[in-house]
Amino acid sequence: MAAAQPSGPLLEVADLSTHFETSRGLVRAVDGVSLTLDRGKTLGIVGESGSGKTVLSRSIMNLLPKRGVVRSGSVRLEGNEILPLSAKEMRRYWGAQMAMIFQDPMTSLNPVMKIGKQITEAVRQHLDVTRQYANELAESLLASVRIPEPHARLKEYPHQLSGGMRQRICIAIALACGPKLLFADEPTTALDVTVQAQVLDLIAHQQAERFMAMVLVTHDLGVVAGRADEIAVMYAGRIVEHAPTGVLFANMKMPYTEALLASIPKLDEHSHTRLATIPGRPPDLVIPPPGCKFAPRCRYVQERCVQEEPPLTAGAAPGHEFRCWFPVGTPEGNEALARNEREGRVPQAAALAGHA
Amino acid sequence: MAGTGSIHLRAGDGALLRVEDLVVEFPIGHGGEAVHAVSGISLDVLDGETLGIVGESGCGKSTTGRAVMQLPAPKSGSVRFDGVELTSLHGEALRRVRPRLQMIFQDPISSLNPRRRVREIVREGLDIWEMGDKDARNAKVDEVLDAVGMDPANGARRPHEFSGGQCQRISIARAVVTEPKLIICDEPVSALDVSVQAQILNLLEDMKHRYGLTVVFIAHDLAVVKNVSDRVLVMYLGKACEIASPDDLYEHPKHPYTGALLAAIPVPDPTQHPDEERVLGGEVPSPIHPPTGCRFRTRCPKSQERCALEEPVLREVEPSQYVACHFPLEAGEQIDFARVGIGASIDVASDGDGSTP
Amino acid sequence: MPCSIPGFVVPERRPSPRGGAPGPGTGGFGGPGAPADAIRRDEADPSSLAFEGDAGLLQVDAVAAGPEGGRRRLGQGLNVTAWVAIAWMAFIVLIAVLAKTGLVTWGDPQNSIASCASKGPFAQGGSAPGHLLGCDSIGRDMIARLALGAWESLLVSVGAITVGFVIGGGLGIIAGYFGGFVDTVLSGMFNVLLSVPAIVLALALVAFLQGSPENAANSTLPDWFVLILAIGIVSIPLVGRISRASALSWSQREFVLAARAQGAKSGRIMIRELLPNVAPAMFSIALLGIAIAIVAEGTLAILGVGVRPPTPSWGNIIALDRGLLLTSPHIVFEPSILIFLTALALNYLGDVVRTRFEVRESGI
Repeated sequence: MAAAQPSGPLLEVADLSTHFETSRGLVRAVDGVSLTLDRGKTLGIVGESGSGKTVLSRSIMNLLPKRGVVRSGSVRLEGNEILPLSAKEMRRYWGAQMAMIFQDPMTSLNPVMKIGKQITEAVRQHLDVTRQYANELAESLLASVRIPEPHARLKEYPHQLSGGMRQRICIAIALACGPKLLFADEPTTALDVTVQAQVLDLIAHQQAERFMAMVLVTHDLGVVAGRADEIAVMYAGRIVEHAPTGVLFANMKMPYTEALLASIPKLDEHSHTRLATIPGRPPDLVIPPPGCKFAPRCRYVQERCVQEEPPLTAGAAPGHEFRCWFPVGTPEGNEALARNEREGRVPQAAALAGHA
Repeated sequence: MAGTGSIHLRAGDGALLRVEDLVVEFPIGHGGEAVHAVSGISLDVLDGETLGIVGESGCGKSTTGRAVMQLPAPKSGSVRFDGVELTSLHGEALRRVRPRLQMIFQDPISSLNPRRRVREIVREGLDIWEMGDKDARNAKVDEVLDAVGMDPANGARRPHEFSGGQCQRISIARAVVTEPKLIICDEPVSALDVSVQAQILNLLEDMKHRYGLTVVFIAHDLAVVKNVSDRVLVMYLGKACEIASPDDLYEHPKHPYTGALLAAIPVPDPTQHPDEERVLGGEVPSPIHPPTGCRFRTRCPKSQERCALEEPVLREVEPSQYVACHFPLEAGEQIDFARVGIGASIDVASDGDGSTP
Repeated sequence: MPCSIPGFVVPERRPSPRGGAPGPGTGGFGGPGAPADAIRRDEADPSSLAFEGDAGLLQVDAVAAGPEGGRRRLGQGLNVTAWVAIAWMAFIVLIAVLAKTGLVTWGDPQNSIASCASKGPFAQGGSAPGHLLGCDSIGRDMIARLALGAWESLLVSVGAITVGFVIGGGLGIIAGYFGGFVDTVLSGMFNVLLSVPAIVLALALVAFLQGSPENAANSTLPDWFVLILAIGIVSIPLVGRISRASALSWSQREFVLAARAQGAKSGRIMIRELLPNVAPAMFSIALLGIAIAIVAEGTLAILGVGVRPPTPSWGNIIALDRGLLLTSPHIVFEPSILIFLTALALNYLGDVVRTRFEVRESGI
């Protein structure tokens, strides 16, 4: 099946920047991001709130308003440039080529429209099919997202369903026209852990069945660990580390990635284990700090980090890139950490926070 | 999933909070039907201890927390706090107890008044009870804001100017300002990023030491609950499943549902592929017509006929580990949630429509 | 060891209660405020940016404005239209006060000059000299009457709306906060009042307060007082229902629960927690309400129960000479234009107030 597809990657993003004009100045929400995604693969985008991960996925989808947004760079879907397209022209792509699942299944569904209608609307907008056929398709879609009694559900309203069921409906709507690329923006953050596992399994299942590529946006490295082929870690609007999943977890180079991973509570740790935290907050994107954007919060920080921004450099493993002068696990990194510990230096943000 | 037992309650007067056979129901319509939110929960929390309550949405864990606060008062059962029976108190007498019993909520947006300044929000408890003069109150607010890692100089700002994590810090400051003995934390980190979650969990631990707090910590993520708790109560559909120390729960879960909760936690390790068989299927049944017998039987792979007919009662299966299950897990037993046991679909009498809504 | 490199600070080490991994638990404050929220906001409300249009952009803008956002001075950032509306209202209020106090006079509103009767500003054969806006049907100066009429109209409308908002708003908050039986009783009361047509209710109230038409002349209550009560009472159920709905939705918020958990009494919760959230929206509705009340007084005047002649109000100027609409249109048009412009200005200001006080909290 893959052989029948045209060659080249499905999605190519080159030097994409998205800046918002605000009363305070230009907010550099996404700054020079490049990435590619092959058919059927999953890219995990990981970062804190304010890292620009959501804006990035919406920029690629071309979902941002035109006014007050400054964009540059290129987004190619199967070789076609889509960044300059108007909303009207994008309608050919939305739903049919690329679809999105949002964090909050309640607000992304229309509360006063029956579920069946919401799905058939999406179908009939893109496919020239009869109402009858659309209804049948909707029912089979609901069955495919493992909703019990799909026929009865078609006539219900979103508020009659649980959060997990609503997210399944959103997935069904996103899948309705067979997109090649699915954006899942924190699809399980609003859900219970048990339901999260169900929903992620479901998405993975559908993805494999439809040979669909996916961008999975999340703040939790644990969510993408077993499910993404490669992971891009974002910080302050930039990709700070990008690697195949196995490489990233086995050999992470960026102190930020290390800190994100360390802050997850682990089941095999004893209770009352003090969690590692990242002090401070992401930087002001209007006046970002010079040098490495993570330097004010970094345990490895050295003089060079605050003066000079590290470029995205390739690591030893193929496909591994990171932005750091003193990477984790390297002699320079170890030396930097040891020196900071020896001299009692802590990151600026930690010192500010520790004013007590 | 019965748990209508109280064998796990510890003897003696050490318990700061002792809840017995708590029942909370919300009537719906006029047909006499009711949502059985909490159906006979017993728990106790010793002075200085942290009790974790864990379960899925709709299991009644938040309702339990609010019923302890008498907001609203439970339908029946006993809530003894610091030697006082709260359910017997009303009006002014109940109000007098309030500053010693505080609550932190899940939603940092909803739990702070957007119109009021941070300083006013934190000082409110002191103002209500007229604790100290104006200077003393302001000094206390400064101290508490500082303790939660907020710069008191920002006290004149309003909540919307802060991030979710910072708002949660403000909520914590508001809760500790009256120096309560017990704090009920209702999913305090569920709305936060992982990195911020770690900050708040550490902060709660610091506050506990600094102000000598006893904590009831409610969450749906067992990994989070494990980190903060001394003892964990697993709840399902208004009933207790298992009560044990967090390390015991993790080492050898006895209730199939505890096993399911553990299996659902995403592991940040790509070599451990998520195993679909270990993911609990289905949904929580309707609390209006809960299943007979064990309430978990409709999703349980181990369920037998007995589970539909007879409600299991909490019993001690290991030292200090209590489980309400007829067929508890053996050591190291792996359960396959892809199939469901024969006790799942048994209809008993007229009350058999408790399956997935 | 002190360290001078920017980006480093050497703090005093603090003992950590739990020991173990580094990283102060109190991290998280100290970063420059806004931008994190800026992005967070759209993450919290994913639908907002998904559509073309202002909504998404406004949100980003709103947050990026960040800490300064809440500290704007009152007049800052108003557009020209808003300033024109404010200027108009100031002008009307000034004229009314001057006319009432007699500090500045534009002639005697009661002095009728027969020769000028019904003459408009552009009447053929020369306008009434000295009467810029002409005279009414019995030759009284229109400017003098409109100025004094402004006082009566504003007094009645502002007074009525104040009555309506204090009583209706208060009852609405009580109904919304307590719910249950209290809500049933109060909402029932509102509904009963609403089921009577407003104008009939107002007429009945005026008649009740002033007594029968024969006794009306001897009534001890001044007209403006009677009208304030009548129009105010009519507005109570309308206002009450709006404030009840608003109070009800704010009551569901957890900060109200938090206040109860702290032991706050109901009165305190209603005043400190609910009122500040309900009031801004109510205030903008009140501004619109004033415009409606001015018109309502005019309607009552036409029905013969408004401010009674010879005291002028905008409404009774129209009412008295509405028969001359074809021959001397200026008598009706002049007060009508004033009512129209005033209503327009208040309407616009109501919108401005509403948008300015809207709390941006969607995605903290």
